[in-house]
Amino acid sequence: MSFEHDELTRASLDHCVKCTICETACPVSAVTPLFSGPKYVGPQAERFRNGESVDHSLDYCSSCGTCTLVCPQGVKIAELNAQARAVMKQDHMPFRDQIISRTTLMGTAMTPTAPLANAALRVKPIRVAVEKVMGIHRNAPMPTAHSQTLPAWFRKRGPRSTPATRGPVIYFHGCAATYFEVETGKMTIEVLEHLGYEVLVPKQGCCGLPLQSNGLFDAARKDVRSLVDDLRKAGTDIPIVTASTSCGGMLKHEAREILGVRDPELADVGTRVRDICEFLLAMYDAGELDTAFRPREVTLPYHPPCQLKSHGIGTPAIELMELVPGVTVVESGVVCCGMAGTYGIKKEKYDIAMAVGAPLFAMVKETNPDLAVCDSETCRWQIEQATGAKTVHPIAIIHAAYGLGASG
Amino acid sequence: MRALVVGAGLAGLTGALRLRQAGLEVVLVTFGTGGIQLGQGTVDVLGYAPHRVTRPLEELRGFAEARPAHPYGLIGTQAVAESCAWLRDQMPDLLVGDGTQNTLVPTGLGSWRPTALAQPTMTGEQSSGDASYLVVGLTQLKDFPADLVAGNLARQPAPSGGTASARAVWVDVQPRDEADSFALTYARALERPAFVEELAAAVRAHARPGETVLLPVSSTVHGTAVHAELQRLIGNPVVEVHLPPPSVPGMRINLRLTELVKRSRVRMMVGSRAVGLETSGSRVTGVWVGTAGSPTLVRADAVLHAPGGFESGALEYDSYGHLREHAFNLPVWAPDTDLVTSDGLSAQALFQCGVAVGDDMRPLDTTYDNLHLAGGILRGADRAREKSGDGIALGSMWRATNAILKEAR
Repeated sequence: MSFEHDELTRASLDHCVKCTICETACPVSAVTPLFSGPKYVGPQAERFRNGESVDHSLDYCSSCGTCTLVCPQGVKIAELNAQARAVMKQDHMPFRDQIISRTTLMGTAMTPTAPLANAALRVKPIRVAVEKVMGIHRNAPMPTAHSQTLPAWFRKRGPRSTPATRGPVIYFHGCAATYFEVETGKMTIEVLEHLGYEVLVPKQGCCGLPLQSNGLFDAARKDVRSLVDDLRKAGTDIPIVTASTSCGGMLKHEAREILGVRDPELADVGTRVRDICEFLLAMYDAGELDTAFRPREVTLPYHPPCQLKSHGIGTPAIELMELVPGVTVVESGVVCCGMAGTYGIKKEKYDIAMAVGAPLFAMVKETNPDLAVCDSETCRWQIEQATGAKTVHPIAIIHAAYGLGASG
Repeated sequence: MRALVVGAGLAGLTGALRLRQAGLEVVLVTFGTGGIQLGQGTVDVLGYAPHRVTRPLEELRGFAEARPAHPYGLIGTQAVAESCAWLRDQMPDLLVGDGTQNTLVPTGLGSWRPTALAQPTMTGEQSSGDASYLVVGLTQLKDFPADLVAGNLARQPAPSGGTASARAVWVDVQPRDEADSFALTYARALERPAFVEELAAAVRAHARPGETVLLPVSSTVHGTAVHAELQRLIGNPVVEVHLPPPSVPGMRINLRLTELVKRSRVRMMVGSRAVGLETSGSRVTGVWVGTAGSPTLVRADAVLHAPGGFESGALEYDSYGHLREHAFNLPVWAPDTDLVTSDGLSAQALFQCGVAVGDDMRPLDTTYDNLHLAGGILRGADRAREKSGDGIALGSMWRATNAILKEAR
């Protein structure tokens, strides 16, 4: 496996002027001397790699993508690192990484036995055993399974109760909303319907992001191509809206820039994907968003996830939530929560992940220890586990403010 | 009314903040972090003309009159003075001075650099008599050659005019377990009171009465309070020396300004380039922004374009000799001479290249009513040699935002 074929990403390393901006922003090198930083393991080390890595500290990169985001010269640092790490891991891929990157597998296994599975994951001796056998840290946050998946709920619920006044939108729910955070999916659908959209929920699989971030590129490509087909079946000139911001980013840019997928079908889907907050704020800018929100006096600590920031759309959730009278949003001011997808649950990365997120956890506890907001699911689980604060997607604030109540 | 600002350097961030404070909706678009954290954390108005300048605001007019293409001719002294005072008032704990008199601050090479507004960590210099300096090297920090700094300081008069003597010492206080730390690692360590005490104790063991201690890092990136504490514990005046990037004092200004911008609810879009203008006749109605997946059209009633110069990629000069303004293809002016000469130490005309504007900062030779430029994209200045970049950024921002605010009314 080598990436000479993706010369554009590799060629961007020559844009590097060694300004150090990426190094100052990297959340991992800030907390551990084990990681030399993005400039070292990215454009610098790439010159020495002819496929193979000479610097194995690369493995500590969490793929948060902050380096690429802050680089003023357009060096695709995170993408270079992701590709180099895949090459580095290919001959000794841990069994654990094969499992945790297959979210649909985990979801399918846990759903029928949800109460038992959830309880088991809270039993300490079981977690210790899992840590020894699989290398998943005993204290790492684990997703909570539900007895009913989101697609099953949607099918059983039947059609919307009021006629659609706007056109259709395709809802890309992602694996987390399918199996683990069904509530987030329900709320997103209900808000879109409240705004008059007809929400289409085609049968859909995984975007392949966890496979990609663990270096399983062939499997990731298979998944993302399959998902692209699934979404296109619902229509090819309708917006695709997602509340799963990291998966949205996979379709918008990562599948192309990291996996090198250049299919026109992916481009068709990628150009139509919108993060739900991006979508709603655009409606507001156009004067089309219902702003009859119930007031709510609350101060919300808000953490924009790395994988939202990399969309390059800013942090639309802040302005959106502050449209609700009485809501004050306080942005975390911290780069990364530490989870970075599956990075933070790994035994050998857990302490680093917790150190990366420590200032965020402190900020949440200080700002509102009961309620925090974050657009990305694994970040929510990380924040909730570390702080005890109920952590929700911004859509939950909007859903409540529209008076849509507890979902049926 | 909505303004769109391109760029998160000094001109972009201050322009966005000023417009927002005046009540406009503001969207700021930036491709990456801006350059403030790569700079010295000071505000340079005019340092060399080419003689060393002592009273920059007074010399500004004469300086500009001798250079017809220079942006200071359009900006004027008043805009520079007002904008510097305004910036200082946004962060009074971080900046002192007003441009009446340049301060001399020590550099990481042991020279003295003139600047108009400095951080209070850099101004512990005494104003009269002879000076003796204790230059403190930190063993894990390779960017600060303490012996070279001390040697050079001793070869020049002190800023007070008296003679200078200097000696170097090295202290071994590890911010963390590694052989090679950069300045930011020390700044982060200074957030821990125990490390502040450890560093102070190590320096105090060497410092003699009457010496001014020169340290390459003396406070955190959040403010200057730790500097005061260090100084108290050491018992000698302490002066912070700024280093090449990552510049801790530069990061202080950048972090503070960014926080102010975000808290004022400027909509910041980080990571996307401005890639085109949407126009209706001679009015710009929006800016196309290269967001992931597909470009986004951001509607705007006015645009402040402050993308920087060559160093940020806003201006390009290719191997065919073509000059280009990257975002909107604005016409780029070049002086009528060879742009690059083989004598690397002499002034390069290349750096004078940029876009020509009128006194409301709108580009000449284009027909846009509501597009204004500021900062490094302007033609006619060799900012590094003159030490004029920050004054140009602030002064042009002031002019441009004045024009935008006038239209808003």
